[in-house]
Amino acid sequence: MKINPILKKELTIGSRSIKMPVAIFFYDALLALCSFVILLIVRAQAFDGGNLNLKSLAYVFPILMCTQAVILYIMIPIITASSVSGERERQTLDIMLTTPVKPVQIITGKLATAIIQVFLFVFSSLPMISLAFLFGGINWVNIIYMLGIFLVISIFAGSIGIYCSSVFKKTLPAIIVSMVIELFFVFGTLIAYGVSAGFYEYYVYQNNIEDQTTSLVLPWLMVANPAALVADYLYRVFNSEGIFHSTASLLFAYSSHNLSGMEKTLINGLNYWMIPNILVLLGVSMIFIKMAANRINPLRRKGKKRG
Amino acid sequence: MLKIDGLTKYYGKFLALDHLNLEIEKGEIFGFVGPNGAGKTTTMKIVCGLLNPTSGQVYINGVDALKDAQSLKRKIGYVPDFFGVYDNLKAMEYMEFYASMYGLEGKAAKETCLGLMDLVNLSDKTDSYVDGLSRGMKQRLCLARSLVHNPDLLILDEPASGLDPRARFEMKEILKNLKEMGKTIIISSHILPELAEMCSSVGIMKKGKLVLHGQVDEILEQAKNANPLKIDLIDKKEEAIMFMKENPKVKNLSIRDNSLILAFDGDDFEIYELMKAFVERQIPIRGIHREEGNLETLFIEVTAEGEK
Ligand SMILES: Nc1ncnc2c1ncn2[C@@H]1O[C@H](COP(=O)(O)OP(=O)(O)O)[C@@H](O)[C@H]1O
Ligand SMILES: [Mg+2]
Repeated sequence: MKINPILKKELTIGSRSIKMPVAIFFYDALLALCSFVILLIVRAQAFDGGNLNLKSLAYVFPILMCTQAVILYIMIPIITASSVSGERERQTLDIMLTTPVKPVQIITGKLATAIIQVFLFVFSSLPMISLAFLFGGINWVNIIYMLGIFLVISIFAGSIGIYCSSVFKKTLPAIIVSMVIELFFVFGTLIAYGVSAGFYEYYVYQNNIEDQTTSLVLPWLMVANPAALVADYLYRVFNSEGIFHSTASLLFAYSSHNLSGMEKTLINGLNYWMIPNILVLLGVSMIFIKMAANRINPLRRKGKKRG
Repeated sequence: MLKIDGLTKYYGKFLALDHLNLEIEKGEIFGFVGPNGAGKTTTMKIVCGLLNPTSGQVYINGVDALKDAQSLKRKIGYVPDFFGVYDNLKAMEYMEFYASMYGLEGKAAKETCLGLMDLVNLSDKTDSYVDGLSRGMKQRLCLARSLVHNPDLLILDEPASGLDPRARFEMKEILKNLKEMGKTIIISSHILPELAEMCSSVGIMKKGKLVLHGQVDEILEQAKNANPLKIDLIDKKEEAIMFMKENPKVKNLSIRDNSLILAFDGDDFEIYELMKAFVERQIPIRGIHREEGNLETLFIEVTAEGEK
């Protein structure tokens, strides 16, 4: 397979910049600080209660994973903000567009660059993550899952960032709008779920409704939420089920209501939360990639406006 | 080779190209001249498939460039009016990057790139960082870059602007070589003399329209009437000036030593009439003649028309 020319060029340029090593240093320093604080807390507990609770060391993993996910989510719009506008400004975008390379290849080249940059950060932190290895509970399968989830998040945030870079000439508006879009997918969908679930529960209570099918469908409002993916997975690391399945089961744990077949199916479905969640995130990414490619395609864009 | 037919482009309500017609033969170096904002860049971008026209057609070797843009990409080399540099990229890497965009990789790419760097006299700069090169070198590198896929048609937007005379000379030599290689070249400039010597034909553009178009020597012929008339006097300068000021066909009268320089809107016969009048009035003159054909004055005249 031929390596995308744009990716190759970006990596050559990137390898000569001192920004990257410096940024990686600070990234790892921050994660180290996190781990250190956790260790301090564990130690303090050990003295307070008298019995050393090493098991809480396993929480190093979820805390570091969450911290990293948040940093990646913030970092990616910054990395990608000038990826397209920078080329446009130099007019190198025009030159690229006169070559046989297709607009979508230019965009995916930029996306691949951002993902590789981000993974340099992630890989640099692996030794620290493996701290949690030493104290049970966490194994290499968890690490692979974590990397997979980071990959999905990077593709998702990266395509939003690159789309914004294709819309805005300046980096600051591109960063701000990317972050607003990102926040919408995290908090917007969460609020949509919270509000609709709240109203529905109220409605159920008022009308004395037994059937709970709707309340089992509502969590899927968060199927495009990257935070939901992290949450469901991390819950799974310490429990035998994901967070969505767990909360749904709780809903019925203390009720006398006999589950209908439909309800059982829906609860079971929530146990597979991660698969549709990942597929939808990748689907949304594809839409943003396509939109970005259309933005830089001079002929396509105009045609659309007229048609 | 290239045929532009009724090309019109609106930017919003602003008319940038107004039913432009143009035909360029294979092997020509075509100079595309016009003041800033005339629409040269717009035309070039449309031909390269970087911009959609509002209406009109572009054909390259008989292929509709607007419908079949993708298939023409391997036939056109384009150098935009702004030189794009990447920080931290060496000249050779810059070349190889564009070669790889045309699917050229490895040894074949290296050879092609080295050959082109040699063609533009940059063989000794392959390992230099692009942003460290001089303006003229960057311009030549950009030219070499546009040749990586061996295109038939080269489109160069203001390649000579901002270059010192030496760099401009080198550029001209390279273009001559390219012409000998059988390439068709379109060069734009807002300064005509910059182009006149290296072009086989020129088109003068103004406000989205082609106001003059033809072989350079033909245009020079046409330019004749636009050139100033020089009247060499022996004596009676004051009288001669008075006489000329009365003549309605005379404009922009100026005096240089013992000569009058003036714009005279008349053909050779009218110049003869003028001579007779001088003789009748007994103003001694040594001769009257048109100054040499000069594209620059023509350019200024043509593009200034109707702007008053
Ligand atoms: N993207 C654009 N939007 C609006 N007006 C434009 C745009 N590009 C060019 N123009 C206008 O179109 C006219 C022609 O521009 P251009 O083709 O760049 O001229 P030239 O290259 O001959 O200097 C100019 O008046 C310019 O202001
Ligand atoms: Mg221009």
